[in-house]
This record gives sequence, C-alpha cells and structure tokens, in this order.
Amino acid sequence: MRYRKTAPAAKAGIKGTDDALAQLFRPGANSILRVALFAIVLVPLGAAAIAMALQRTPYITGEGRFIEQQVPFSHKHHAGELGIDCRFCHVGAENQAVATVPTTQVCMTCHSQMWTNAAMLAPVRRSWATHTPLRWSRVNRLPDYVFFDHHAHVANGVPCAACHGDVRQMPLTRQAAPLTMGWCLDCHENPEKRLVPENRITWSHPYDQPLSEAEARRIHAHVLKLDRTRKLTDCSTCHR
Amino acid sequence: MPSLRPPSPSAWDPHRREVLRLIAAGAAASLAGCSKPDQPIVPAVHDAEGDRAGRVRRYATTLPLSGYGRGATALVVDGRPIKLEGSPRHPASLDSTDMFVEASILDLYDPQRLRAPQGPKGIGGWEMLERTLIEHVPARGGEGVALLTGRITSPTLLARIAEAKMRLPGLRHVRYEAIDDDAERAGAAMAFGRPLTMRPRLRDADLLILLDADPLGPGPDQIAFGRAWSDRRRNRSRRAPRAYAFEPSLTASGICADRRVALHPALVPNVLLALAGRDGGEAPEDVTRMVALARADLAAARGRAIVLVGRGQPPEVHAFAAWLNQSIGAPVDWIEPVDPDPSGHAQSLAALARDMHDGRVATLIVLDANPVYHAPPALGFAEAMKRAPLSIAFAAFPDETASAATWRAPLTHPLESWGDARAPDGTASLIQPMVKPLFGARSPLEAIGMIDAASPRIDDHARVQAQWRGRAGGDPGRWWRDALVAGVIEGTAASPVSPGGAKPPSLVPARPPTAMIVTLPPSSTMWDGRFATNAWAQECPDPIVKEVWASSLRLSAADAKRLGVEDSDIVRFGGVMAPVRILPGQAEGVATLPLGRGRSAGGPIATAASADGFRLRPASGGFVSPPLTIEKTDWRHDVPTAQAIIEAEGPLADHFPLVAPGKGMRPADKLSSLIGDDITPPDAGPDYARPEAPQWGMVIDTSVCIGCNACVVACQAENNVPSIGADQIMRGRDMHWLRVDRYEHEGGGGFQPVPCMMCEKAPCEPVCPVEAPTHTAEGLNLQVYNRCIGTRTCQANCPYKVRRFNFLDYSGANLWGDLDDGSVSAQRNPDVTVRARGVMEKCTYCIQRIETAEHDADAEGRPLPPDSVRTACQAACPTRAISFGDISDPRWEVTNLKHDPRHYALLDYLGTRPRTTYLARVVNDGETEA
Amino acid sequence: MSGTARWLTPPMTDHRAITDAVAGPIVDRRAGKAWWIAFLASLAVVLAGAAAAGLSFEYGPGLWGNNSAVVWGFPISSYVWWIGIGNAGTLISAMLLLTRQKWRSSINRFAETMTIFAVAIAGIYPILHLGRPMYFYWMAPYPSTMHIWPQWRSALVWDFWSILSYLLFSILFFYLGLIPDLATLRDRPGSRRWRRIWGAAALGWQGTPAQWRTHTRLQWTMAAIATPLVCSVHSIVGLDFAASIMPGWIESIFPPYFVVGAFFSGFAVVVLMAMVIRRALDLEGMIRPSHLDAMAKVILASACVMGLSYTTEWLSALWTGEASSLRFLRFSFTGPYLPFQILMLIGNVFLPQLFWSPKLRRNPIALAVIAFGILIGMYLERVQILTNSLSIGWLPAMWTLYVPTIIDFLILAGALSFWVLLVLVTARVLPLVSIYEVRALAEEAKE
Repeated sequence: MRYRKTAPAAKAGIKGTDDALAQLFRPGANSILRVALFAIVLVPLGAAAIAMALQRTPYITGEGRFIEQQVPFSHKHHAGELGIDCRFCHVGAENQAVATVPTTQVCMTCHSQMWTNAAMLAPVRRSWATHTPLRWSRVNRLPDYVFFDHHAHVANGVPCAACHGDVRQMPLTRQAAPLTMGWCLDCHENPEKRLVPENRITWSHPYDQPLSEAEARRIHAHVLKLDRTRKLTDCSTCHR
Repeated sequence: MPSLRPPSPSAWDPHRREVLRLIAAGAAASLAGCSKPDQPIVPAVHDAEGDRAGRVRRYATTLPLSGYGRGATALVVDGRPIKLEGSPRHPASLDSTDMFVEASILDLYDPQRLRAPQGPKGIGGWEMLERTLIEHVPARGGEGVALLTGRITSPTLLARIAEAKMRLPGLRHVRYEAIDDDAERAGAAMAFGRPLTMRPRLRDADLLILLDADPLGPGPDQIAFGRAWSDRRRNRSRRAPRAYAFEPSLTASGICADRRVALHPALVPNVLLALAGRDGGEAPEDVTRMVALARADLAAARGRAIVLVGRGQPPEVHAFAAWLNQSIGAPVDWIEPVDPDPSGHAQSLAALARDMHDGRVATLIVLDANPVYHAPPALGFAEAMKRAPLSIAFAAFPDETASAATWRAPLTHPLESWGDARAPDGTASLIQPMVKPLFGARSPLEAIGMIDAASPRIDDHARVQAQWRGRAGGDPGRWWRDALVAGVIEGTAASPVSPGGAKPPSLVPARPPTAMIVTLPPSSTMWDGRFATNAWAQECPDPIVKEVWASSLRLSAADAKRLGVEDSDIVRFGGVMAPVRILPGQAEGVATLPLGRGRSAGGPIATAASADGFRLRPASGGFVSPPLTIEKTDWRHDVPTAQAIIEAEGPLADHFPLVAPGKGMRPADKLSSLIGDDITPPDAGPDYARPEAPQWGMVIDTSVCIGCNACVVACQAENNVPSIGADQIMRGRDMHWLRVDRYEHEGGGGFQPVPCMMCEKAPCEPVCPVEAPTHTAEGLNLQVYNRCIGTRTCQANCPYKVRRFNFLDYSGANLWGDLDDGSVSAQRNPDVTVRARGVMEKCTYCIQRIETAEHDADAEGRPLPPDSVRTACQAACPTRAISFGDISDPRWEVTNLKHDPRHYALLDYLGTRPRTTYLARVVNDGETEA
Repeated sequence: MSGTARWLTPPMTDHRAITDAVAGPIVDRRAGKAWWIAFLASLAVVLAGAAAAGLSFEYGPGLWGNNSAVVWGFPISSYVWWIGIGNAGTLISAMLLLTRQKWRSSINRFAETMTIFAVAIAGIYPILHLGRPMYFYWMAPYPSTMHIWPQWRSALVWDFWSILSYLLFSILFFYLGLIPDLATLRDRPGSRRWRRIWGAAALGWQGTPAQWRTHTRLQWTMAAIATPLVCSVHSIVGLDFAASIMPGWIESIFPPYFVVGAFFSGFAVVVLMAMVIRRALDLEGMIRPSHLDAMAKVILASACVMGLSYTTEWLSALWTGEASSLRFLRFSFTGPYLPFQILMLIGNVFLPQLFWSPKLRRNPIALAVIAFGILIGMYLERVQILTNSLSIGWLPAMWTLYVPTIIDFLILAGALSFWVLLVLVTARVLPLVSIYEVRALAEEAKE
C-alpha cells in the first residue's frame, strides 16, 4: 500500500494537542463512559434473560388460548351441565393413542332429536346431510415428532384434567397447559404425585381431595412397578 | 486393497423452479417458527365398524410376479396400505417377502402411473375407449383381434378370456413373458414326451449341483427356494449339505455355494456329460478338477442330490438333466405346468409379429405386457404395431408399448382390484383390494369385459366368487371369508405326477466358442424391467456388484486385458454400449449384462442411460446373445455403486469369518458374547437399571443370507427412508438404514447385512454436543431427530458407519421423493418421523413396532410373549437369517442364537459391545478349517 | 545500546518519527490506489463466498463434497486451521513479552490484530457446517423450556467454551495494549470525528505514571494467563479428534501436536504480514533484518518440531503393528491423497529447512515465500486429518473418497478474503505497530 501525501499536520493549522483533548469531550464524558462499560456486559445478559422468560409466557406456549371453531361447542354445557362422560365422545382416550374427536354421527345421536334447527348446529347437519366431515381446529397441539399415547396415560392413572384442565368450566375449549417439553418432563421425572385412582380419571379436580391410605399405597406400588419395567424419561418414550 | 468408490465431481445444480420453491418453503418455515399454524382435525362422518384410528390392520392378498402369485399381507392404517409383509400359509411367501413385493407398495402411490385413457386425440374418457372397442372388436366376431398378455395363472382371468373367446371366436390370445421357461418345457417334452415343470425339493438335497442355474437368485421362486435351501443348511440332523456352482458370472447361488468355478455356458453339456460318467469332451483344467470332486460327491449322495441347469441352457441340456436327475433318484417333483398355455413364449410372439407385419392383425390389445421393450429386435415389434390400425395398451405405468400404441389405458395395481393367481407350485390364492383404484384405473378383468362388451356386466368380486363357488361347498360366504383370511385356497397345489421313464437324449460335448458372447440374466432389482419405474428398486444395490440406477457389462479380468479396457471404460457390442466392470469369478469369453435396464419410455425414473440387454436377444429367445465383438470406445462412465465390495483378506477376514460345518469360532477369535455379562448399558450408570425391561438384540446368520435385498427395501418401506437419486449416490451418499456388505473370498465369500449395531458402549453417544443419540433402558441406541442439529460427529465416530445424514431435503418434494406430488406421502408410515434436512438418522430396531407391542401388552396387562416383536427386515427375510428379540429372556429365539458357537460380534475388539451380532458363515468346501 | 540498536535504526529512534511513521498513514494520509484495489478485490471474493454460504444455508450441506463416510470436510478443516492461526497472535505477543524479547514490540500489535479476526472467522465454521444451523445455540447451556442441557462429555462442547473464552480474552488483551496508542492518536491533530472516536476508545488515558504502572502490571498478568489458555484452546480442538475411536485420530499426541501446528501456522501469518506491512507502510526501520532473522529461527525450530511429531505418528503406528493403524499409514503414503501428503511435508517440514542459511533468514522474499508455503502445508494437514481417517474407517464397505465442490472452495476463499478485508480496514483506523512500546524501545536505545 503506497500513500499519497496530503497537507502535513503543521500547515493544516490545527491547535496544539493539549487543549485538543479539552475540546473533544464534555466533562460528563467520563461518567457516560463508565455506564457504557457496564452496559456492554449487562445488556446482552439482560436480553438473553428476557428471551428465556418470554419462552415461558402463554404468549409463546399458547396456554389459555382459544381457537375459533366452526361450531362453538361448549364442554361446559355438555360435560359440565349435562354431565356427559368424556369417553362418550372421545372413545379412543382409554384404549388407543388418539382420543379421537367424535364423528358427526355421535353428534347427531342427540341433535337429530334436540336443537334440530339451532343455527349454530347448521354445520353439523350439513356435514350429516352431505357426508362431508366437520373440520375442527386443534386446541392442544403437540409437535409432529411427539408420539403421544392417550391410552398409556389414562391406563396408568393420569387424569384428563392433568393436561386438559377443567373442561367442565370451559364454554369454549382452551389450551389448559403450556405443553412444553419441560412441562411434560415435570411429570415423567416423578409421576407419583400426578397419578390418581381410576375412579378419579375423569374428575374435574382429581387432585383436590387427599388420597386415602390405601389409594396412596396402590399408586406407590404402581409407580415402583413402572420403574422396574421402563424409564419414562427415555427419549424414545415420546420421540422416535 | 479394496477399491474405493470415487464420488463424481459433477456439481449439484438446483433448478430454477426448485430454487423458488425452496425459498418459498424456507420463508414459510421461518414464519411458522414463531406462530403455530392452525391444524385441523377432520373426524369421519360415520362410525367405522371396529376400526381404531392409527392402528395397523392386516389383510391377506396376493401379488403376481410374471403371472405367478405370491401371498402377501397388506398393513393398512386408516384405510391406507403402507407396507407389505409375507403371508404365512402361502407356499411362495412363507411369511416373508422378496425385494419385489416390498417395492410394490411404492408402485401403488406412484404419481407416474397412467391416470386416464389416452387416445390418438389425447385424453379421452373410458366411454370413448369402450366405443372404439365396440366399433372394432365384435364386428367380425373378433376376427383379426389379437390379445397379448403376460403369463396368466389366474383361473378367473383365464376363464374370463375363454368366455370372451366363445362370444368372439376370432379373438386370438397370445401369451408372452420376457423371462420365459421355454427351454425347461421343451426339455421336459424331450425327456418325457410332454411339457412338465420340475419342482426341486431343496429341503431334502444333501448335494446341489448348479449348472448355470441361480435358484437363490431373483424370481417368483426365490422365497420358496431360499427358505428350503436355508432349512436344509440349518438341519444338523443329517450330513452337512454341499453345493457346487458352475456358472458364467457370479450369482447369489454361486456366492452361497460351497464350491464354485467359473464356466462358459456353452460348456455346460460337457460338465453334464462328465457328471453322468460319459465323455465330456474338453473343458478348462480348473473345471475338470471341480467336476471330478462333484462326481465323487454325486456317487456318495445318490437319491439326495439334485442337478439344476439354468433357464439359459438349450432344451436338450434340460432334457439330459431331467434324465440324469431321474437316474440318480434326485428329490424332485414333476407337475403339470401351472401356466396352462402350451405354446412357447418366443414362438408365439414371433408368429404374432409376423402376422402383424403381414397386416393380418387389425386390432392389437396388449394387457399388462410390454412387447415393444421385451421382444427381440429381429421381430421389429414396434414397426409391426404401426401396421395394426388400432392398438390398445392396458398398463399401470407409461411404457414403450403404451407409447407406441394408439390407445393407452390405466391398469389397476393388484392392491386395487379383486382377482386370484396361482403360485409356481400351483397353489391358488385370492387378490383382494385394499383401496379403491387411486387413478381411475381398471382391472384386467374389466379390461377383458371391455373387449367382450356383449357379455353381461358382472363385477370382479362376483366373478372371482363365482369362479370358486364350486369349491365353496355348503357355506360359500364362510368359505370365502376363510379363504381371504387364510391367504390361500386349500388343496389347490398341483400334485406331483409320475413323468415316466426319461429316455437319455443324445447330447454331444461342445467345444468352447471363440467369439465373445453376452449372457442376459434377469436383473436382481429390475426383474425384466417392470420395476424400472420404481425409485426404491432403482436405488436398491445389485447384490453382486452393488450398482444402483444403472448396470455395467461384467467382464473377466482376462478378457478386459485382452480388450484393453478397465473399469468404467465404455464398450460397444451388438449395437448397445455400456461401461465395463471387471468381476472376479466371471468366466473367460463371457460378458454378462443384466436385463431390465435402458428403458426408453418408462418415465423419468425408469429412463436412465444404461444398456438394454433385450436388444441383444436372438429372435429365437433365450438368455444368451449371439456371438459378437466388443470394441472399446474413448468414453468413460462410472456406474453409481452404493458401496465397495470387500476382498476379505488379511485382517479384514476377521469381519467375515468362515467356519467348517459343525465347527464354531476358533478360541483365538472366539469373540466376547453379551450373554453372561450384565446387559444394562454399562456407561449409563445405575439410573438405567430396569430389571424388568426387555433388552433388545439381534443375531444375523450370515450362513443363510442370500443377499436378496428384501430386508433393505422392507426397511425403506417401513421407516420412510427416501430415495436420493444417482447423483447423490455418485457423491458417496446413501440413505439405506440397512446395507448388505459383500465379502469376497477367493471361494465366493458371502453377504453380511449391517444395520445399526446398537452398541452398549456406543461411540456415537458421548461425542454429540446436544446428546441427540441417546440410550434407552431397553438397550436401544436411538437418534432423537428433533434434537439433532447435524454436527455429524456421531457418524464420524461410528466404526460401522451405519448412520445416514440428510445432506439435502431428501424426504421433501424431489424427483426421487414424490415428484412434487403428494400421493407418495400417503405411503409413509405414520408411526415414524419423516426426517428433515440436516438431520442424522439411523436404524431404530423398528422402535415403532416395539412400542406398539409394549403398549398392547400394557393394555392387556401381560408381559411381552416371546417372539412377539418382529423388525421389518426380520419379517421380510426369506431365509430367516435375521432374528431379533429380548436377549435377557431365554424364551426368545434370538437369545439361544447368542450362545451359538458360530456367534461373533463385528469389530468386537473396539469394546463397543454391539447388540447386533452375527453367526459365522459355514462353508463345506473341505478346506475351511475350524 | 548496541543490544537495542539491532531492532531500531534512525530515524526510528526518535519519538515523533516513530509516531508519525505509525500514525501517519492513519491520520494524515488518504488510502492509495493499491489499498483500494486490494480492498475491492477482497470485497468481491467475500461476496462470492457469502453467496456460497447462503446457498449452503438454503439447500443444506449437500452442496459440499461431504459424503456418508467423510461427513466432515472443508468447514471443519478450515475451522481447525483458522483457530490455529488465531492461537499464534496472542501466544507470540504474550510469550515474547514474558521472555522480554525486545523485537516483539514491532510485531505484537498486528499479530494480536490478526488473531482476533482469525478466531472470529473460525468461530463461524462450527455453525456454518451444521445441518440445522438455526439451532446452534443448543450447544450453549441455558435453562430451556425443554429441560435439557448440552452433552458435557462431547469435545465439541468443550470447543464451544474454549473458543468463546479465548476470543473474549484476545479482544481484551489486544484492547489493553491499544489504549495508550489510541490516546496518542486522539491527541494528534487530525479530523475531529475520528479523534472523538479514538478518544472514547482510549477511555480517557492520560499517561500518568499511576496509569502506566497499572497498565504494565495488568498486561503482564494477562500475558501470564494467556500462555496456558492458548495451549488449552488448541489442545481441546485436538481432542475433537483424539477423543474418538477412528484410526488415525485416536492418538494421545494430538493435543500437543495441534498446539505446535497452531503456533506454527499462526507465526507464518505474522511473518507474512510483517513482510507486507514493512513494505507497505515504510516501516523498514522498525522491522529490521534482525527481526526477520529472529522470526526465521522460530519458524525453523517449529518446523523441526512438526517433522518430529509427524515421524512420531508414523513410528508409533509401526511399533504398535495394529492393523488399522498400519492400513491408515499405508493409505496416507500409497493412497490417492499421496500428492497432498507430499505437498504438506514440503511446506511444513522441508521448505523451512532453508533457514539454516543465514542469508535467507534475512531475506524478506524468502520469508514471505516460505511462510506462504507453511500456510498451504498446514491447511493440507488439517484437511488430511479429516479425509485420511474418514476415507478408510473400520469397515471397508464404506471406504469413500472426499472431493470438495466449487461451493467448498468459494466458502474457503471467501473466508480468507474476509480476513484480508478486516486487516485492510484496520490498517486505516488503528496503529498496526505498538507506538508506545517502540518508543520505549527507542528510550532504551538512547541510554
């Protein structure tokens, strides 16, 4: 790199170096500088912290989120007020991986008798008449690479409410849990606290009443048996 | 030192369309990253009876290959058949499959399939075609109408054609199968005065002498023969069996034989005569030595020896072999031909072609056959077709005949229609549809119905039922259900006939021809070319030379030297060109080119630049080219090979030990077995101890592996493994979770399937920065795809190199994936993640099957019963070489095999403690020690 | 007197002369044609490289030469190579400081400069080579909603830390040395905007005796820390390979051998830069033949050490007689990669032997050429460490050759030019020679 000479500093008539410093910075500069030095360290750390916190908020996890459905189905009414059992519609919950959303036929078992002209049920009747399936929007969504099995949970004493919350209080169904992997692991790491006796599986608040001596013992035994046969935190438990 | 596969330097060029699509996809993905897109749930309208969402249901059916039926079980999930397995009671399936059955499921969803009838004026509906047929066919009682089909064993279809003939007396039915059995039939006719089919009882054969024959090679009988052969080899109660192979080019049977020598096919008569104790004329010195050995064994094994000659040999050789077998009391049965058509394939096609040239055929209807591609060039079939005013091709896929015909009409896949077929041993079984025809195709029965339009409309289901009403007896409904469930129709196997004394035909010793000839065996992956449209088949390595997507001309080192060519040099011969591959064990003066490549109008996947062996076929048929000269050209081309073939010498021999019958591994190399050691993964710590958890392991018996690739394709079908195309293979990449290594000892060597070893001390696990390869309490080493960030450190550190990396978006839309068409994704197994770009994947021991079995056991509150989990490769294996299960439970078969004296672990000295282990190959050549 | 005179010649014995010589190019002058040509040329290549990298992100590693067996290619070898270069700067300046090498003062600054850039570039590769780069941060330990952490047993995670800490440390060390000179620039007449920038960066340095005392103490302490740190960094990179079971990798010699290699290649870069800078910035007075001589000696010494470690590798293979090691050895000397093996040995071991001749030791051209040869040799070494082992692993069925693609080369070239670009820019804004340290040297010269 060769350089072209330009006007030498002396000729340029710039003042001596001593007061040059004075002109350069206002007295406050030092304190600003000190602050800046701290900021260099703190800002990135703070940003990271905020990002992590954000990940846990409902805004990201979708906890408590409603989704507009073409039929505003109310669990509050059907499961709560009418007291229809979960398994009447979600037939798969007990014995297969997918709990299944009921077929139009299931809806029509009642609604061919009652509310036969209700406007909000029009899509159901249309589906029934035209043999075109209803399209519901998924509320509780797990990533595609998670292989969730309802039967495995229900059969081992995990109540519906553990994940779905108290649907009997939901006019519109909402996502009741964060459904993050960490949230799943909370249970898989020590399941004992989350298991309930069979009769409580479909309760709205299965954990509120304390367990009887016998029930606690039975659940403890079950967990011990589980522990001898499989490791619930194996990745392959949910991922393949 | 083994040859290295040089990856091609050809750069990968993204097409513009693809660029745009990928960018779009990328953008979409980045958006989806933040917000969860709405995901619909679409429940059925009506409750389905007994159907459980997401559950695999199994239905027995039948898949024809060259007309012969092989039983299969379709695995159907939510109405989609996703996999084919064997049919337990079917004699040509025996609960296992071959590569062709496994690949057929892809054909069902293949977007290349013909979609609508297409006439001279472009797309025309079925009605238009029906009208055209009515105009041309019934007019003159079918006069001048020729119906050309492949081999038909289906009783219903035969009856249907017979019925049509009654109404259309002029209708002429010609049957032509490219891989024919003319020579066998003619030979039998010579020997016994009538055409008979020989069924060797390999299960009873102590001594097997193969003359240019490949019973363990591809074909409708591969499964049955392979199983019988392996049963015999396993049977310790009798003397150790021995097989001799005299063959022009290395075949699966040759590799599996105990003693093998390369032999020019023209010299087979000499060997045959010598074996019969007559003057065998001259033969190379190594051959005569081998013949002497064989004769000695033959004398010792009277009544328990079989001599088999290949389909490429002339009738008199077959006739002589028939006589010889009879005179030594060989364990073979003779049955009436299952294919009732007495005419010879070659002659009848030649006759048809002649008449077509002479304009005596006004209407040609081709049903599920491809004569334009298959017919010997001398017949000039394509030109002959032009002479016919109307030609209609019913075909599932676009092919040479369909594009030459005036009309092409889509034909159903066997999983889409009702029907039936006979196995090579005569056993009949039903074909039942799993889905409605996807692309509006019509079945063969319906096609005949269109020709014979005057006949009453009866649907296929009714026709097939009517066909078997006679057998049904009292309760037809019940009989029908039972037959469907059983997958076979009981008591339909052809019963052996007594052929009567064969007269020794006059057979004269031949002298080795001077000019080169080319033998033309059917391809192990393309069969006669009908699988060329199938991306799985194209990417399935040839068992012998591991070539994919193309074939080379196999030459002996001596001939190559004489011609001054080396590997990959392109040579010209008999009007075709192909690159050369020098193959050890190739006979001098003989080149070998597998049939079924070089399709010219088979669609983007089939149409690869590769030599078409049918161009070399003499008009008289057969599987040997006329004498020809081979010239070197200036061009070179590397045929993509999936992997290297290993010359097992020096230390490499340890990878594939050979033992003598009844012997085990030498104490010196008696390798550490897992049994006795604790089987909880030692490096995992007490946290992993689950005393009642099953411990999964696998044992592969290299002694009975015939390298048929059924396991490879089965794995691909079960685990959503994508095909990646020739270019990627050329760059040294591949995605098969299971590869079959071939070891080459001077005496043949053998096959060694290599899935993941599931090491207890897995080198892949500790090196991954994000711990994507993890170990489970059941001793599985599994890759967590969604955790993998693609550092590839695991594969770098895997001594077995069994991990596979998605260098590109292989599973996404691409030519080898689904041609940008969703239909292929319907085949994907819903229980297996479809892996994204940049993710490492590998064999999982079919974790989805393990999980299903365990959940079912849970649901019924019982422990896993023994042998209740079968991996896809295990279920496919025709010879039962692969066994899998809980090695902590002695009730599982695999656990006992871990105690076998032949048991060894690959690279055991690395201390990886593999869960997948092997049984050494037994070679009964009288030389192998230990 | 004479002791120092070897390192400085008039006018470089006078403070103002020194300052002008170093600061002049930055403050008083505008860049010449040569600078602009170099700048634009490297910029062009950088853009090409960036495009190649962009394509790789879009389509995936499939655009590279990597294959099922040789899963690692140029990105990893480049990474190792750059880290190696990055090691030298700090190592040199720190060790020479500790060993009171007077001639250090002329070269330590740009050695440190290039270090930072090299390490920064090296840091990009582990991310670039990922199949799913968007998740690179999973290698960092943070409380995720997945409740899972990185794999502490993996050498790649150790890498993550060593690189990070080394980069931060190098920046601090470099900056510390820079402060007094920044003040000098600030106090020199020149454009006000730039003086404010330098001034801010100078953190109000006044050059009071107290500040000087602190500065020196801190600098020495950091130097003391630097040396072991530097060694650890490349040892850990070495462990990426040594902590495996692949033939040719699983060798205890790797960590030390990597450190030597690193120092070696890094020093070569320093030499190369020195040769360029002394011509370009007319600093012949500060970087004198005696400097060249000293540096040449260092190269010669380390070249011998490299040769030693190579032979150790081969001999240990022969001594063990273990099949796979022997196969590996045979492969590297008879296999298709042989030409590169030979080039590597020439560049790293044989060429530097020329420095036994004193005349060549003082010849800038010779130094430049040999330094260049070393850089090529070292890169080839890094490549072969990968390909030789992965091409012939344990099971012959998967033996595969590695052939890089155009994309590989574009990324490689892009990275190199990016480094050049950074140095060029730095040359315009920061003193590439430590003014105050040269002054101090001049002081000694006076006494």
